[in-house]
Amino acid sequence: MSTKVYNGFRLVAGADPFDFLAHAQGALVPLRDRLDAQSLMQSYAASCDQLAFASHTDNKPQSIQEHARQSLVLLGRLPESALWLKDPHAIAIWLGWEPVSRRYMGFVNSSAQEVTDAVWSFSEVEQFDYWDNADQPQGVSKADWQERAQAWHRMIHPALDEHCMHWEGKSFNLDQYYDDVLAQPALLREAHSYKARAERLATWLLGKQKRIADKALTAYSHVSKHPRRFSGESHREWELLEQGIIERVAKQVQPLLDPLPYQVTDVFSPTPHLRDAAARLEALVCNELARSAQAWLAKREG
Amino acid sequence: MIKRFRIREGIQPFEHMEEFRNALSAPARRKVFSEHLAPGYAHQYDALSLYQALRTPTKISTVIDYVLFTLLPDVDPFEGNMPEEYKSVLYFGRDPLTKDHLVLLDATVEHGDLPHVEEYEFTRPDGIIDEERQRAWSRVERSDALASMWRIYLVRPDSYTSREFVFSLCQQAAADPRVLAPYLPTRLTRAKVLAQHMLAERFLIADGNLPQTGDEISRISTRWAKMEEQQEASLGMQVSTSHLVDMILPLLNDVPLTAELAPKDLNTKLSEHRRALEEAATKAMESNA
Repeated sequence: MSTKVYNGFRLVAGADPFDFLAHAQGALVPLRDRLDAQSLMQSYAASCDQLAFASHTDNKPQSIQEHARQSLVLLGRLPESALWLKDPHAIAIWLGWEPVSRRYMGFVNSSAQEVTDAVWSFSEVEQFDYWDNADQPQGVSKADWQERAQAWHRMIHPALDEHCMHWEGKSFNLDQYYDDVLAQPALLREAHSYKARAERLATWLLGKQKRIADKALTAYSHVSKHPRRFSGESHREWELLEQGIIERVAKQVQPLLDPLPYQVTDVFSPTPHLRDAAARLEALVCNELARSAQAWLAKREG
Repeated sequence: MIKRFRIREGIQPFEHMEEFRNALSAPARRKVFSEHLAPGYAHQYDALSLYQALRTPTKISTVIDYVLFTLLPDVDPFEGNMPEEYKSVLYFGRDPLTKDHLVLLDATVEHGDLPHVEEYEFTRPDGIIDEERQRAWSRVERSDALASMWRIYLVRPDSYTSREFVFSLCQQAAADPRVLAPYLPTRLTRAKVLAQHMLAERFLIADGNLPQTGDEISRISTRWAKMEEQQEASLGMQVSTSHLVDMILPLLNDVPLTAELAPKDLNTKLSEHRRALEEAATKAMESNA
């Protein structure tokens, strides 16, 4: 069985585990709140912008609070086996005393890389990740890698639980997800970006038009029906073309976006700008797709 | 149950993890052995003896099925949650002012002494608040309660490791069944459980659900403990089992704690009197129907 401790770390000699915990708590809880705010505002903005663009009948105007509630309902439909993953920004730290090296070592349990990066940046922490299913990373000597292997082997045998205590940054429970950020309008405002919103809406628009183009546009249809030509370098080239479309459409979309409410109970009311521009933007994406597909095919087929 | 302690001076809690974990696990181990594994195994043995249902040697690992079924009754044992009654957590914090290490035990299972600690409750037995201790605890727990403390979970309801803990106990028992010896129920308890099992079986047969195979008999016997209360309520079962218990008691022998059971290990006295016992159970049921 392989050993993979991608988020491993070690405290520097003499560091106190309780001082480290106070440091981690002070740094990671606000970071987690910012991540929560970003994901809440991303999905809220997408929901509002799609409503303003397409007036979906099943997508009524709603408040941030109501959007958060509905998102939790959707997350709650995940299978029970993924319970701890329900809150995507849940944080836990495991720490134990390794008596041979006489050092504290542990790992961060979080799906957000920013959290691990934050812990690795602490002055009392050394990066101490380890895996044995692939080569060691550049910049780590063979001797250092061997030391990590031995230390982690001692730590996880017979069971990690027997050597470690842990700390949880609250929101393992889905019910608490969003609670802290909904009480912080400043955090929500900080997480909001018109540019990111415009890019997401353009991406959504592109996806929508690609489904139509698959049947209606000869050149694009040809592209999407030839997966073997559509791989490797060709695929990367196509991705760049799509990225160009998104950027050009986003520039046109951004000035049309409505401000979002930051008071959690205010309901988003779209102005007609986006709706009025819908046909023009769809045509723009469609033309861009056709042009890109023709250019891509011409290059591939000489 | 919340209990508060202070770690003795010079002791760094992380360096004594194994002792703290053992202090947490011992009562839970006793509870699983005494409430589930040992009575479960004893009853399996008696029921199998009664029906001489054992055709091939069976390992004590059948007990594992039993304990998972009763301990995790409504869920898939590999995905389900542990019951709250096994909750057992130690929280460790450090007072930023005095640098004392404080420990909070939050457990449902009754615990013995923790190592390296002295009692540090802030409410004295006479109800008077020790303000110095209360201030120390408020500095450790701060406004965010337990979020500022390290913790050791032995069992928590949503934890995979909690189920691992129960599995490991089952494996211990399977490897050396003698660990169950101190927790085996008395003969009287075994006789009562077997009598209740027979009554439940009579009800099932009366309902047209005649058990056909050894597996079915075994399944009925393992389910009985769980069904008992519901059956009593739903069937209005007010049957006195005392006569049946009196008949069973002299027939019981010691439960063999061997890693494998063979047909020769079964208690033949029970099976020899099976017809008489079934008649007594049927009469008891009919007189109360």
